[in-house]
Amino acid sequence: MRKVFVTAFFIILLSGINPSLAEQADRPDLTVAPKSEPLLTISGNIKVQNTENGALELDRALLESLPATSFTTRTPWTSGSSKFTGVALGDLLEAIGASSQRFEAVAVDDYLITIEGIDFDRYPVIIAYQLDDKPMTLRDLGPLWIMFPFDDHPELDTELNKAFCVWQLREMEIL
Amino acid sequence: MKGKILVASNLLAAVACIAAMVVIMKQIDKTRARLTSESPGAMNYLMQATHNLNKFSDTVHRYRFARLAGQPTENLGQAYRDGFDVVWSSFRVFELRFPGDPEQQTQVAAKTEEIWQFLRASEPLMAKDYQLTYEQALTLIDNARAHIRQLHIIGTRFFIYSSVAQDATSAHLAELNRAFWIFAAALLLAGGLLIWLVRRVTLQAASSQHITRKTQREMATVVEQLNSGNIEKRQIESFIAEASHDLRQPLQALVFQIESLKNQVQSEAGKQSLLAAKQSASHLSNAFNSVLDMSQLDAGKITTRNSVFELGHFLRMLQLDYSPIAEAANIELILNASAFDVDTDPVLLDRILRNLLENAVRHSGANQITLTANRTGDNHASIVLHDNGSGIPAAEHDSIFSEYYQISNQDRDRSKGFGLGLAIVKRLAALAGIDIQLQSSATRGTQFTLTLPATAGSSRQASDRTTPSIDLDYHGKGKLVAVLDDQPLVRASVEALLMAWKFETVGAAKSEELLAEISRRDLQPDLIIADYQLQRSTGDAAIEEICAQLDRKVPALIITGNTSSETLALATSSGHPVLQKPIEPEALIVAVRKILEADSSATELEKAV
Repeated sequence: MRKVFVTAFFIILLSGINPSLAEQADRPDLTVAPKSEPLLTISGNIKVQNTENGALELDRALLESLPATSFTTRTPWTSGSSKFTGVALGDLLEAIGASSQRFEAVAVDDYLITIEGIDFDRYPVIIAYQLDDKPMTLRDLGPLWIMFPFDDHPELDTELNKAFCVWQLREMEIL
Repeated sequence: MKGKILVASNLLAAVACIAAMVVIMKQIDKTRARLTSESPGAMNYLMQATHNLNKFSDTVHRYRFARLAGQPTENLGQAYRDGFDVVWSSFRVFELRFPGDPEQQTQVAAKTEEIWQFLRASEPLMAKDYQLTYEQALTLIDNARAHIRQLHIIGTRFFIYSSVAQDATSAHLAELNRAFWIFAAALLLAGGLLIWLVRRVTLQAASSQHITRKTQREMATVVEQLNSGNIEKRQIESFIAEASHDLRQPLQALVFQIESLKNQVQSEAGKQSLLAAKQSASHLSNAFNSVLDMSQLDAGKITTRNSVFELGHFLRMLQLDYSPIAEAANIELILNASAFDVDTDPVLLDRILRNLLENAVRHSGANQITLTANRTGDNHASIVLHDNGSGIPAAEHDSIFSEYYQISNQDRDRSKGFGLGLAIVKRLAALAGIDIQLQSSATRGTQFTLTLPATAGSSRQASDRTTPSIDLDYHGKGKLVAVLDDQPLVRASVEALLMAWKFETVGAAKSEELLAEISRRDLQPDLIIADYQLQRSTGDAAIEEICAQLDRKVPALIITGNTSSETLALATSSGHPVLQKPIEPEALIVAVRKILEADSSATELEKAV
C-alpha cells in the first residue's frame, strides 16, 4: 500500500515537470508484479519491466487492463468466422517502451519465429486472449494467440503472416 | 500471290501466338493449383505434432523417474498434462494433404484417427488429480513413441512427395518459360509481318495513286494538245514536209522542160506564154523551198555548219544566179563587194540572201537592187541589201517578219508566194548568228543590214578575180554529159535542158546501164551529173564506179532532192560540187559550165607539163 502511495506521489510530482509522464498516468501500471500466474513474459529491449532480470511478466488481468481490440475473421484453424479480442501489438509495444516492432515469439509447443516487417500502427494485429468472448485453453490453441485481421485486410492473407499467427504464445523477446 | 502468302503466314503467326498463350495460361493454372496445395504450413503441422508428442512422452518419462526416485511430482504432473493438451491442440489443426494421391491421403486420415483414439482413450488419465501408475505411464510413452514413428514415416513420404511435386513445378515453370518465349517470338513475328504487310499495302496504294495521277496528267496533256491543235499542227507540218519532198521531183522536171522549150518556140505569143509559164514554175519552186525551209526550222532539223570563206566571191556567185530573174523583172542587180573572209554558215547565208532578194524582186516594186558588202570592224562584216522600191510602212516593220504576212498584198495573190520569206529569214539568221536590221521609208526604199562575223585577213579587190558571167548565148559545143538519175522524169528534163544549150547527153537510171550505153556507143563523157540518192547506191559511189570503169577522172556534179543536213554533208564530202533541187536552169548551166571550164584549164595545164 505504501509503495502505491510513493509511486503516486512521484507521478504527481513529475507530471508538473514532464507532460509526457502525465499522459502515462492515465495508463495502467505494468510495473507491478502479476498477481496470478503470468501468461506472457516479455524480455529484450524494453523500458517497462517488472522482474529482477529486466523482463516483464503479464498475467491475464494486466493484459486486460490494456486497451482491448476486437475483430472478426476467418482463419485456416477455426471453423467459420470467429471473434478475436486482445491487446493490439502496436499498443502493447508502445506501452512497454519497446525499442522496435521486431521481436521473437515463442510458443508453449516450442514453436519459435521472428516477427518483423509488419506495420502494427497500421494493422490491428493483436495478442488475442478471448475467442468468441471466452478465454482460450491450451487445447483451444490458447491462452494467447497472435492474430491478424485477415478479413478486414485481405492483403495480410499470406503464408508468412499465417506463420506469424503464433498460438499458445508464451514469450516475446524484443529485438 | 505474294500477298496471299504474307496473309497466310501472318495468320499462322497469330494462331501460334494464341496457342502459345493457351499453353502458358494452362501451365500457370497448373502451377498455381500445385502451389496452393503445397502450403508450407502442412509440413510444419507434421513437425509440430511430432515434436509435441515427443515432448509429452518426455514429460511423462520425467514424471515416472521422479516417482521412482520418490521426488515431488506436482510440477511434473502439470507439465505432462499441459503437454497432453498441446498434443491435443496440434492434432486439432493437423492437416497434411497429398493432393491427387488418395492412397497416401487415406493412410494419413487413418493415422490421424488412430492418434485421436489414443488421445481420447488417454484423456481420463490426464485429470488433474489423477495419479499415473508406472504401467500407465510406460504405455503412454510407448504409444506416443509408436505414433511418432508412424508420423515420421508419413513425413518421409510427404517429403518425397513434395520433392517430386517440386520437380514437377520446376518443370512446369521451365515449360512456362519456354512457352513464354515462343509466345513472344510468335507475337513479334505476327507484329512484324503485320507492319510489313500494312507498309506494303500502303506503298502499293501510294504507287497506284502515283500512276493514276501520272495517267491523269498525261491525259490532261493530250486533251490540252487536242484542244490547242498542237497535234494537228504537227501533223500538218509533217504532211507539208513529206508532200513538198514528193512534189520536188515533178516540179524540177517541169522547170527544166519549160527551159528546154525556149529555143523551140518561135512565135511571139508562144514566147510570151513560155515566159509566163517559166515565171509561174519559178514561183512554185520558190514557194516549195520556203515551205520546206519553214517545216525544217519548225522540226529543228536545220543545224549550222560554219566555215571561213571569201564573201566577195560568194556574193558574185549569188549575183550570177539571180541576175536572170532580176532581169526578167526589169530590175538591175548591182554588187559592190570587197574581198574578205567571213566565218558563218554559207548555206544559211545563201538562203537568207536569196529570200531577201526574192522578196525585193517580187514585192518592193523597185527597179534597182544594190548588194553591198563591207568590213565594219576587225571581227564584223555587213551586207546591205538596198532596193529603191516603195518601202515598208513603219507600223509593219515588226509584223513583216511573222509567218504568212504579206505586205501590200491584201488580195492574197498566191502567185507572189505565201509570205514565208521574211519569217524564214528571221529564223535562219537567228540560227546562223546573223543580225538583221530593217530600215525603210517610202522615199528611200527598203534596206536590210546583215551583220556577221568576219575573220581578220587581207582585203582584196573583188574585181581582181575573173569570174564567169552568165552568158545566155553559151554554147555546149557538143560536149557529152552523162545523166544518172533513177527518176525518168527528172532525167529527161535535165537532158532536155542540156540539149537546149547544145550539149549532147546520155542518160540512164543505174551506173551499169550507163556504162553499157557508153561502151555500146563508144562514148567519152565530159561530165557526169548524178542524183545522190540512187536506188541501190549513192551518186558519188556511182561516179567512182564509172570513173574506174572508164579508167579516167571524169568531172562530176551531184544533185540531190534530200535537204537534210546529214545527206548534204555526205554528198559534199564526196568532193564533187553539189546542187540542191529544185534547181534553177540557169544555176545548173552555170555550174556545168564552171566545171567544164575548170576541167579544160586543168587539162591544158597537164598538156603543158
